[in-house]
Amino acid sequence: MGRGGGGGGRGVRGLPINSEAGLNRFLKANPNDPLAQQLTDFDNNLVMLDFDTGLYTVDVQGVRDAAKQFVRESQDISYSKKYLISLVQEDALASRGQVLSATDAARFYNTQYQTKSRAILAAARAGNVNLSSAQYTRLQSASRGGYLSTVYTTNSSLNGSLANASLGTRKGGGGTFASASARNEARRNFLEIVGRLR
Amino acid sequence: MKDLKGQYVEYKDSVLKVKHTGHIVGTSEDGQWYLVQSDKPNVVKADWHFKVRVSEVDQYLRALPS
Repeated sequence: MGRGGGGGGRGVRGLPINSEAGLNRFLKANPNDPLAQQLTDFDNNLVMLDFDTGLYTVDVQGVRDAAKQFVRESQDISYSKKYLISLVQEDALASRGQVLSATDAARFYNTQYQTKSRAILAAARAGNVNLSSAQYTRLQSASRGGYLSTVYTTNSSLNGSLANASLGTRKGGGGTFASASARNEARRNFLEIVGRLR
Repeated sequence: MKDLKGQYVEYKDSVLKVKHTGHIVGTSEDGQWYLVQSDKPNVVKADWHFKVRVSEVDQYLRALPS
């Protein structure tokens, strides 16, 4: 069950993998490619290694679960961009001793998302695993890169500010919970609106 | 919508493989999200750091670690 028809059979532009044989050829020829590393990362449960033959087979349930989780995370959780970028920078410094600018950190995150989504799509295609249209659409979108620019479209989501959010019983924009940056942003927004009305 | 202010939330990002933890501090104006302030020590200052969809929050609520 789980193979045949649906999203798994649809073409995935730019991915070099169309079957389990193709998957194995790709992994053998490109073991250090980031896509290969995502595919064979056992935390992802996308493929299983047959130790007798040395060949990988697609983990159908694992691919289904990964696609489901990928979509669920992007729908259930949203980060303020500043927080996300600072985490990526912190992680790069701690794990690789790399100092990343905000632009490089955003690029890194986009690439991580892109590679992960491409790995799920490639495994689904190789194993002819059926994905839902919603999963396929979301994965395809992420696989094109530029994930962050499609997610962050408001000042609030960029900064983690309360420009369009409320805290508990706080009413209006000047409560004690509002940070200086949130108050400044609210003031800028107000002046911008007033300017447009004049 | 339940009043979950102060509740502890935990979530692991499967892409970055980073665990996010923090406390709910409020809700978005549209009522769709619980806003969470991270409890990571070196995190950037902000009113909220990540938000969890109201309808899905139960799976991310945790007891406060001792």
